[in-house]
Amino acid sequence: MRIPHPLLGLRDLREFTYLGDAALIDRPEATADEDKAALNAHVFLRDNPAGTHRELWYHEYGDRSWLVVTRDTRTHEILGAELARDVALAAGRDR
Amino acid sequence: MSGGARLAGGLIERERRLRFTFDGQVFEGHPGDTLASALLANGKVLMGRSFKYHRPRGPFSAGSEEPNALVTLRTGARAEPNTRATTAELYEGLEARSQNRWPSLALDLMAVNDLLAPFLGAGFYYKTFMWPRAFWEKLYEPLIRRAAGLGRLSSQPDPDAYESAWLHCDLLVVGAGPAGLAAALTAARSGARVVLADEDFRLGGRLLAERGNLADRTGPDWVGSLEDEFERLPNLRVLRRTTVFGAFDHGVWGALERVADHLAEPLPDMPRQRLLRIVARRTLICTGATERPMAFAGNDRPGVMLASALRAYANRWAVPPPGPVAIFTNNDDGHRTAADLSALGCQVAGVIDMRPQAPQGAGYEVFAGAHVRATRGRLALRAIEVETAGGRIVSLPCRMLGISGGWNPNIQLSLHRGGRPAWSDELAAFLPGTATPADMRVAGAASGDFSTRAALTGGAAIARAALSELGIAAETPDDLPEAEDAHVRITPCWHVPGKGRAFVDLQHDVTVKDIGLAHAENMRSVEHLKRYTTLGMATDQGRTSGVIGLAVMAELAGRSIPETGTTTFRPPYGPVAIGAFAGDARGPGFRPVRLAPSQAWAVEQGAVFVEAGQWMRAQYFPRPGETHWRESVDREVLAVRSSVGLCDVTTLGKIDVQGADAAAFLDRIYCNAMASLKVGRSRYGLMLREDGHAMDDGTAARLAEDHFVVTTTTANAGPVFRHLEFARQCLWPGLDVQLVSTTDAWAQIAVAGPGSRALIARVIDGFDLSDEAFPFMACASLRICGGLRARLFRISFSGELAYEIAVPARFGDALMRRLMSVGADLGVTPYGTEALGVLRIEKGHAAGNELNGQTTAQMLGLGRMVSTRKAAIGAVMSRRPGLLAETRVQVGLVPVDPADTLPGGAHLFAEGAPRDMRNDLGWISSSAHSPHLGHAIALAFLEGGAERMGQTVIVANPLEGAEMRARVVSPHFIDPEGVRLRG
Amino acid sequence: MADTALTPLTALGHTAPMTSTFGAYSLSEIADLGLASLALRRGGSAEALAERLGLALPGPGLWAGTQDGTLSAIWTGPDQWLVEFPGRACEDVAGDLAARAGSGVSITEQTGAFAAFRIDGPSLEPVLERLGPIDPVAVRPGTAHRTIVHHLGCILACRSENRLDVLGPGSAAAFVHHALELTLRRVVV
Repeated sequence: MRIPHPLLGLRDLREFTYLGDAALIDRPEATADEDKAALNAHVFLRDNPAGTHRELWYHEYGDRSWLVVTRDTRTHEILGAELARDVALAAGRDR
Repeated sequence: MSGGARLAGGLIERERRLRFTFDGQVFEGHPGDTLASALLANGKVLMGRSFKYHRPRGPFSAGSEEPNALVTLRTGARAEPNTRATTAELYEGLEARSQNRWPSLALDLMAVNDLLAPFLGAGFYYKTFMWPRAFWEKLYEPLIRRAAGLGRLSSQPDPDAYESAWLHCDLLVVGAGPAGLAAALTAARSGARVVLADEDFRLGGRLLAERGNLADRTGPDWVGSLEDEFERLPNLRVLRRTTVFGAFDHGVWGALERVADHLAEPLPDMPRQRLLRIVARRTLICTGATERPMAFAGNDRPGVMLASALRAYANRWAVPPPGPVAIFTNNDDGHRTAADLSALGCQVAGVIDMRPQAPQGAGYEVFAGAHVRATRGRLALRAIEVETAGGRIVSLPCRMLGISGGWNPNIQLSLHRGGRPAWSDELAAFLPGTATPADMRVAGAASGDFSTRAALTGGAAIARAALSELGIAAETPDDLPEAEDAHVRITPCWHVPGKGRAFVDLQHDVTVKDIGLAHAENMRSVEHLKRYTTLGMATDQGRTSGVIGLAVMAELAGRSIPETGTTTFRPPYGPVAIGAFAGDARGPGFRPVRLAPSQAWAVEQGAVFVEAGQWMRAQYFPRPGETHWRESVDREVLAVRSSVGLCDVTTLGKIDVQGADAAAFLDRIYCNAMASLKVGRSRYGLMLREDGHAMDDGTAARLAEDHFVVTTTTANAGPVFRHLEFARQCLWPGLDVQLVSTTDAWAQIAVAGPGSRALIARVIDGFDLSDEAFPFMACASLRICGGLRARLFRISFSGELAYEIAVPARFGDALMRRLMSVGADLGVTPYGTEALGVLRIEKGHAAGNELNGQTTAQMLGLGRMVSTRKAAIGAVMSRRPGLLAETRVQVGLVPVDPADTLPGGAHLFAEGAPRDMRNDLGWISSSAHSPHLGHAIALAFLEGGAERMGQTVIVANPLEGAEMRARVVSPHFIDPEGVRLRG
Repeated sequence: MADTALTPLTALGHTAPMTSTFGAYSLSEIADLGLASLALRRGGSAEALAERLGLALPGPGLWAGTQDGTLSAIWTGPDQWLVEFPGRACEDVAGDLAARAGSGVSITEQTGAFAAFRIDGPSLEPVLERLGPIDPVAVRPGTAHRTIVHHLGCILACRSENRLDVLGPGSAAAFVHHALELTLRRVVV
């Protein structure tokens, strides 16, 4: 596999570590015990689409950037990659 | 000895001779020969025995699809079993042995299996060796393995090296036949970066094996002129002896280059083979086609082979058949073989053509509408029985029979990334289909364009198309040669019905009858057929048998071939030795090894080392006279408790956390409060996973308002850094935090024991170590040994007064030596990981065994550390009812009988309770002999542990059949009040 | 220079750097390279920082140095660099850098974090092909790629057409050195 790093171009799979669904970015900022349901869903519930999937990859042997990679799970075609930091900021996670 | 009888022509160097042996007998061949061609030239047709029935077999092909002629090449540690004689390049001194026979190839007593064949059909093993079950491993399997099989491994370490490399190109061309050569030429002239790979040791593909393909010159002549031009093109890389074995995602290809397989042994530093990963923007599959046989009774007799192979041996290697030749065909290509052999002066006994409208022969008899119904001969073919169109039986004496059942395009690589092939009724063959990935194109015979002309123009066309997608303009070469443009005319035939065994998969001895049996037993999917009969599962991966097998199955099921479908194509296309995948990852290169800064010193001290992840750590330091590791470890532990010990703890992960929001960040990472930590102080910290379980622990030291150094366990240094980066970039990108790993930058030495303060005082440059100035959990940057910058932490893993002192890594060795020399009168003693473990178990500190991913802060006795006032990762989820209801908590255990040991991993039960899962109360996570207490101690997770203090539990170790009784105690075996560590 | 009584060792554990030759190639340990990481804090300006340092701070995949060769920086991540101080491994280069950079940055000593090796030879392509998945064409003078080499994260800094510096984890110096030696032996077969 080759992953199009937004800053460094196409890089080989083995420079990366996989984490999972990019929905992990949307962490509920919960402090109260009554927020458990939202956290439970965040930790344990995942979609498993046959098709486009946004997922987190870490450029562990490279620049240590977390990426959000959009991949078609049926063909492994990669449709794009963004810096996860930019995705998180765009989602309003700038606290 | 003469290099054997030869015809005119051929691509061998007749003036040079190479001596080689087969089963000890000496022969001669020529450079350019394969082992198979040289043996055939010497009249040796019998080259192997079949896998199951031990039937005598000769070569069936002249290439990598070979199912029969498998031999063991070389001897001793270099012996390599299951090498195809048809691809093994001849070299001076080559030694080959036949396989799977006893006592000899000609007289194989194991051939008794063949007499038992009626009982040994498909599924025989599954049905026969079912019971008694216990017999399988001890009796049946060894017996079967001895009777059936291929060559044997040498069982010695491979003396040769294998390396890995990466290639990058615009265009990868797989196969150097006419299509591949035209494609490579087109692309290379455009200036694009091109890699051309071919599994043969000579470029040309089928051009090397044919006569009269090109109009005004021979194939090899044209290839020769191309090779001259290729030499001058620096942007073209030609890889001979290289099999592209797999297509992987996004244009990455696996290829095996046989660098030194054609030499008796590799030159110094030369790898035998090279595993290449080729990263190609576009790839052209020009892999040609493989002729397929038809199945009929006795079709495995030595001397029966693919017609195209017969033609190749005559044309390329100038090997004459040992006598008259017959051809059995269902298409025009069979006649081409007859014509070529006839032109070379070989006697053609006849062409048996299944088709009633067969073409006329030129100088040989054609039996139109006829078929071969049997063969005669024992170790070699003597005659065939032909049933004519009129039903007459004719016995035709011949020594070789060429079979031509049509050609299968080599489409495997185009399907490795998924998709199914498309069936062509016209060609009676599978074509790549429409599922070919966008970065791949197929041309020539691989795409069903069987004529040389179509291959040349097709190759050039796909090269231009692929390059134009990359923005590279390429011209079709105006000097491509004129070539034949024959059409395929074929009437499909898969097998000849009749009595006698008709083999489909020669290597695994699968017959038409076996497929019928599978069908009768309701194996309807081709995937089931494959697994039940093992058809196509041999080292040749069914290259000559797969399509016939499924065609026979389709016929039995009354379905069409495309309805029946194919099995899935997966890498590797050809066999690849495991050693090639391992490459240099063996011996000292097996995996990364990390050494602590005091490594050289520890070696000098005679330390025994242990692997801790990638690290090599000193396990203990034996002294003269100590005969058991426990003696050394006990001494080291007692030295720490009574005087002072030194341990290199550099391996703990260290992460520099800086930034205006560093404190706020760590407050969200650790479940306990961190923002309140004062500058100049350290604090124990516990990280939770988001699901509420404990992840890792360590200390955080605040060196400045906006600067922390946090430690991780040795094993989790990488994962924790990744986790912190995830939190920094994905969860809270608005926080001002910067992270850098400093694990390798600083050497860190633990100085532990009542004498530690006195020892530290001897190396620091004027620094107040008093309890008031530098209390427990203090930290500071300071200077030591005359100006060297250092960091000092008053932290303790052992429960003793202790410090950790850090210096730039390059000075770690010198600091260790200095501490040892200035502390001699204090009884300074180096200790290793074993003593470190005993010390922390005595103190009740959790480590990797306790932080195993299944435990919570509550189980570790740290539940109250989890702050309820902040949104730290995992804090809320750690309060899920199920986790709060967990009563298994960390306790200490001591044996009731002080002579007993307490084995780690043992499970705990109440006295009198059955030893089963339902009554399981927990497990021992860590155990040690405590020299301080004089008996075994253990840390354990025990159900209701808090209420069981003082009670007795059963420690069950069913693995070793032992049980002992233990008393539940506090996990703090030493100094529970912490008097010692506060000095 | 710190006036310490302690004698440092090179990353390979010797008192002097190691050098060996393989045909037209040479491999040498750069034992005196001082290193410090530099990261921009929130709201900081790379241009202003570069001006204060008198050093161009390069972008992704690049390194840049001063004219006199006394200071250079390798891009290691967004707003992060590894600053090189040739010949100053024994000094407090992080302290020096902090004094020059002023506020608004995070600086960490990294001298021992990396073992540096220098490969000189007629062509880097056959070397790079054996080291890992980086395309040799992308390794031009002025580039610095952090990538995987024999299972380890390493920086490949291309100094010229004939010179490649390999910076690997300091604790794995011997492993990296073994891998580079093996590579060069294979290149010159």
